[in-house]
Amino acid sequence: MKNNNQLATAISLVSLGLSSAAWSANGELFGIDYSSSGFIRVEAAAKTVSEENPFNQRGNVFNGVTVDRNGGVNAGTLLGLNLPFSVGLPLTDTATRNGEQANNDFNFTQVRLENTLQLRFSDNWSATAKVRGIFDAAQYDEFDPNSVNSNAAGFLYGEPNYFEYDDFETGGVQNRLEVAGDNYMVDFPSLYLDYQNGPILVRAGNQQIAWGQALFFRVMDVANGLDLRRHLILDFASEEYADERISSPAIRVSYQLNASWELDMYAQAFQPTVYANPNTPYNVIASQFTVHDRYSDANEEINSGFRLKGNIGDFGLQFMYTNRYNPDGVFRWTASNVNRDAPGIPGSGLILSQTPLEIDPTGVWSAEEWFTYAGMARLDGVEGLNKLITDFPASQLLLARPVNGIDAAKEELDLFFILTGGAGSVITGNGMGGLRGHIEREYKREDIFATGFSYIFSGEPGSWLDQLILNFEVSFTPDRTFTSPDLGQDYLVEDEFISALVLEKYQRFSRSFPATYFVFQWMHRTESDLFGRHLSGMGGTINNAPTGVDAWDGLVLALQQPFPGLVWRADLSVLYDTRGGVFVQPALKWKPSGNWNIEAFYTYIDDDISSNANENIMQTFDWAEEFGLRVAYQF
Amino acid sequence: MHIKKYDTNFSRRRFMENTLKGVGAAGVLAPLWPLIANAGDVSKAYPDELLSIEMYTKGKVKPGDIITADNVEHVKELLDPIAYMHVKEMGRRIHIVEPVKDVSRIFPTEYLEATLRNQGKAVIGKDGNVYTKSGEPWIGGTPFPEPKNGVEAQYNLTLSWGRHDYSQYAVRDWDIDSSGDLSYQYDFVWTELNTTARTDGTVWKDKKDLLRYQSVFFTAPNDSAGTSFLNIWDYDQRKFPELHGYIPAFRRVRQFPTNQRFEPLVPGITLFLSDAWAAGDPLQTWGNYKIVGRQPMLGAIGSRNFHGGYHDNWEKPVHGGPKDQTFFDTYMELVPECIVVEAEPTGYARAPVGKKRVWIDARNQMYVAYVVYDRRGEMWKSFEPHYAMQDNDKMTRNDGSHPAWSWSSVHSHDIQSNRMSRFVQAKSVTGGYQSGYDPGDVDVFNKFLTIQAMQRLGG
Repeated sequence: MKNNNQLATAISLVSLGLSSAAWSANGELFGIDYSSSGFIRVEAAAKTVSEENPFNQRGNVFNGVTVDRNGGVNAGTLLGLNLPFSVGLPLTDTATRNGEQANNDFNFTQVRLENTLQLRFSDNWSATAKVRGIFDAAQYDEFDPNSVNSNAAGFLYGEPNYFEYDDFETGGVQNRLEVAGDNYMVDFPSLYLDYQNGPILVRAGNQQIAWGQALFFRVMDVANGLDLRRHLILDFASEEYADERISSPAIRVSYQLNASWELDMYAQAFQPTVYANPNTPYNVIASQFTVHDRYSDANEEINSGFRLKGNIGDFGLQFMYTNRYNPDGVFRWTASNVNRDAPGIPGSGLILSQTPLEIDPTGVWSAEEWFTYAGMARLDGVEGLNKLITDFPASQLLLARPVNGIDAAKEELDLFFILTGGAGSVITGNGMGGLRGHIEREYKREDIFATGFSYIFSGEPGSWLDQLILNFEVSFTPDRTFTSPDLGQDYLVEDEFISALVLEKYQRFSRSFPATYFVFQWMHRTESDLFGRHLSGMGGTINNAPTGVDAWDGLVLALQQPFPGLVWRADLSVLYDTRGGVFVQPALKWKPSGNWNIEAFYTYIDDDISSNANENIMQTFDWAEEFGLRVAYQF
Repeated sequence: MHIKKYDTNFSRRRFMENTLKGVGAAGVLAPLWPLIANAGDVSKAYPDELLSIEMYTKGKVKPGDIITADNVEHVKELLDPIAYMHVKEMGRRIHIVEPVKDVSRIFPTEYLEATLRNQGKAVIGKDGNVYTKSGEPWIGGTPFPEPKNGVEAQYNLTLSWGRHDYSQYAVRDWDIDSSGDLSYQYDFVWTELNTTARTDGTVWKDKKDLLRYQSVFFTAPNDSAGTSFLNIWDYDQRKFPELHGYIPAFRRVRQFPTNQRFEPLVPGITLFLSDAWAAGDPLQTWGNYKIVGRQPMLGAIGSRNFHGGYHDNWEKPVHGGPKDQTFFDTYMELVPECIVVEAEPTGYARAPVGKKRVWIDARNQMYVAYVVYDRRGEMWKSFEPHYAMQDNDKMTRNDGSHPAWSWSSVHSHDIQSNRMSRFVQAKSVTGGYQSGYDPGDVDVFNKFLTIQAMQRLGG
């Protein structure tokens, strides 16, 4: 727990700021119409389950768990021979990960202040500036590297930093219009100038661009990456990616060709997806990894695209092309450059620095942990080890050799964990450990072609067909680059199709209540899951390498039931992964008066309804069941 | 004085006869529209009891008086039942003013000219829509100045809502809850662009298959700003409009189903899409239209209801209700003849509305009162408009070369939840958007009435 004083200070400053009429004002000054308004919102999510985020140090499922490490020097492996029998020298011990398990009450405790200033200079020119300030009160059981004697390299691998993220070496931010510290950030989600003249609209500046009719399923919505630092994608589901879609400096030109057709084009500075930092509540990258972000190699690149949208008769049509750097990036092993000797093995640090490995207690301690987390991260624990060895020959100086099969991999891994934890454990029986894995994140260019059509059904008034809107969207990305489950230097390159079928309907069930709004969606992806992870990494467990799956399918059912007067609204959002995972979020939205807005939502996640949890996406945040509450005051 | 030979019940009898016989021509002593066409003075069409509130009430109420709970019984039958309740039970006060004598002052000039020019040219086609005798979409003005049935009367409201080819209303809304407190306040802009039924007789950009483009976009408060909707109305009144909306959370314009028209656009407001101009839905999505009566009414139709010159932003003083802020000050006058039309929402399964009753001024065919009933037959809402020629003792605002005519404010009262939305057509609202009816050189279509515009206005 920290930051209580900072929280009080922040709230005081915000209150002071709100006392100024300047926050909410409109009028004319020097011939410019201006309006300014905003809100302050307290946002919290209380945990409703005991599980902690396993990707964080203090949620690691092996913390305090004694594990047998059965290493050995295997003659066959060492000599590169596939012997019919095992010849070697066993080396075993036990190890207990020294992390202290957290016991959090909250996943999320933030205060947000947003203000929007709009200026109209003339009939043709206008400008919008929206500033967003976030303060994280960090009411969490935070990771303390000193408590586990960690000295992990990298800016983000000490005490938690909730907002800075630039790269391995430094803090700061990649977003050009953002300042951030370890528990605050201020940015401009919108800062643009509009010029509109007849059918032409030019919008220049920092902006979000969202295309497509599908909600939550991003088929055509590919212009912007996501900023996942705040509430991952687990905030109020009805808002889709409103808070996550990351703005980027861009020039967007749209031309209304006629009353039915519009051409929309953009060119924007590449801006990658921002993942939650290690040891922050919604981190989804195992914290035994150290990420070297190579954004600097792509930060001057330009993404661009166009969309043609219109109608032919009763059919709506869309055509889209985008050429972009995929904002999610791809990952692979990289040399750690950390020269830290294993206890009792002088000179080993120099060798390790040329491999992806770094000795630190925040790393992986055992083969069991290695394969458990490989499965959770949709990686191949066997081939991942082999690529670490073959792609980084220095590792062979430590007698590491490619292995054949999971048993040999475990034997070799445990040997390494024993030795790098201090070989003395062979005598005492109780070992230490920790090998961090360094990976780099690169960005690859791709072309996306997409089309979509829509149709509005007519039917008897009140029937299910009446005013039913159907949308179908499909995209094709040739030669898309994916992270290989083995983290090898050669990425996977595959053609990918992504499609979504969307059905929307207002249906009135009673005369006293407004109609219920239904959305049903089906997404089908041929190569990756909803988070972009290649499907060949699915299905790995502690006992087997991933088996892979053929395709990913997800179903969404969302409904909104306003109450009379719209003062209350009940929502339900369900995402079902057809391989046995489900996300359910019932929510209640209450607007008791013009200034106040309250939203409460409960997030339920189940990853093992019918199949291997490592084959569906829910496992990645299964631990995040929570009750969320947002209380906003607007001014 | 031509009226003395008529007793006070003469008009009532004549109205009843006309209603029963389905006589379309308005006027008691003489047909109304020839008089309007000749001189605009309709006094010869009605006896003095319908031209003077003092005569009508036998001296109990006269111009300059204020209707309060103490004297409202004298004009009870001249008010819709909810307006009567406002005065009787909620402390509303209504100022009585001299009635307008020059009928041209209750029309936009161009609209009246089109009405006169095109009189007798409208027919209802086999598909139920209004055409000229040569089968073209309507060419402007009131298609049926002397409506013979409810459908014709309703078409007079439907085809040209604001009676300008383009209207842009900067609207400021206050929502008063049952305890009389202000619970919500919104600023929004409402635009209407007719492609057919235009006073200039043209078809806009050859869009014969459409009636209008209409948009509404909210500019305040913060959580509603950017919420924008574009309705594209078919000329065929059997079809629902196409609805595109920008919801700030989605960051893009999406198409929405459009058959849910009995719900507020934003929380707390009692204005529904269906309410607009008492004709917010395509005409043939309702049915069972019938004229159920003719009667005089009190209507807020005179220029004193324009508050320009009295307030920088044309906003109005308020009074009444538990916190003395539920009602605008309104100035009503005797409307000699209203056609009372009822209709039912036959095209909306499980609609909460059972029927609507509209009181339409027979002179300009514009409604002066509108009450909605629920499915049980209980009164639910009133949507009381206030109109004005925009020239009063303080200022004149022209629409082209003539003083502008438009609505000035509305009381939208849900009496079942006792929530009042009252809104004015303001001079301007947050964002600097202004009311106006003459776009001049401004390309209002691209500025306010396209999907691209919704995206831009949304943010």
